[in-house]
Amino acid sequence: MKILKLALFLAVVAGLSGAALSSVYEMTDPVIQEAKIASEKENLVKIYTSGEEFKAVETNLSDYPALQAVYEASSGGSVKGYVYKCSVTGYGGASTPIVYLIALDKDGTYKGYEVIDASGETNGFGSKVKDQPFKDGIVGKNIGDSIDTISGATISSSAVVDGIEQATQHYEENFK
Amino acid sequence: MKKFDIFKKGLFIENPIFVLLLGLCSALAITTSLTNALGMGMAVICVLIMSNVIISLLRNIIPNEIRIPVFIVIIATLVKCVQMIMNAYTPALYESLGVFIPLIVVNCIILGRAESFASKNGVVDSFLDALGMGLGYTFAVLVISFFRELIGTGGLSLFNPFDASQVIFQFSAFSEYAVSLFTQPAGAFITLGCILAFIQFLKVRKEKKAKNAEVK
Repeated sequence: MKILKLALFLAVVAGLSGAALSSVYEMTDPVIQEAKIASEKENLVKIYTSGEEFKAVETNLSDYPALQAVYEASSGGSVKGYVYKCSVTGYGGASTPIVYLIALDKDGTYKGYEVIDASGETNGFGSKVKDQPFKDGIVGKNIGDSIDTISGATISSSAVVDGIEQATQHYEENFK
Repeated sequence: MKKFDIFKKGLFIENPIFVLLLGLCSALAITTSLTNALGMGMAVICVLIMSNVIISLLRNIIPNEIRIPVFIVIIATLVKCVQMIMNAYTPALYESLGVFIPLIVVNCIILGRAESFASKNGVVDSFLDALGMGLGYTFAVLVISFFRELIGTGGLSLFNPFDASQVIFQFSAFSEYAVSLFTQPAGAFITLGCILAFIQFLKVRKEKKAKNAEVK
């Protein structure tokens, strides 16, 4: 009898603490999500420039090693497209990956491409993945078109293209 | 006056880190900068006060046989709440303290105060005890991080832990002579060892003086 009483007491304490935790979670979760996006926002607005709203998409990315996060851009309630944050290993090795955003529009084109960090790539060679000509080779193309790599910067640019392909694959499986 | 003594003992006479040697794991790990130490100190004060007050309120209804599991559930809940709140409102501090916020759960200071003080004393006394112990912990980690940051980076800086962009003060005096060992874990042990030795020295000297006075 006594042991039942003890177990019951412990169960009540655990139940109460669970309730307390869930209410704090409800309170803080939107702020945490917002803060996560705020740190990304200055880059996101370079792609979707007309005041779209961004929301982090909860999705399983374990099959896509290059993808770090997915954001949904919407305006007035209708989804405009999805922005993928990618991190791929270029010439700088795994410790200084190339981090960039690639946006896939709802109409089936690559809407934008912004490099956040390519500091590990060789200046004048791998660093060309940041430059306008390479960007022009991506933005505006239809999903599924092949993207040209840069001669002289093969490792860096094919790493980027590989990440874009993973993003495309994820997009086609989840949002199409 | 007795109430003030309860508060005061945590600061020096029973300082959790320098005298009781509790909670050393976090004290060694997070003391790389003053800002981290201040943030961690405040998180510990919050958890300690709440856990002491709650446990003291419940001390008469918690069955003696399962008091430790109940204490741990209460402490773990509080720590998780503090962790979520920090993640939401002080993301930079949350990042830099990393795994040591959840580890406040196993910080022996908190369970130690619950077991040895809050479960036997009233709410007001427990609150004062928690405040004193928490401030003592904060004071101790600030002292350790003061030496580690000064020697390890050649300068000192303090940011508002709630807003990393707000600089309280920052200077760099001899960064070219910085001993980076002191930002490593080994430096934490060396610093703590030297401080403990100094405190021991003060203690022994005081005892000797007291003895001499007695003889005379």
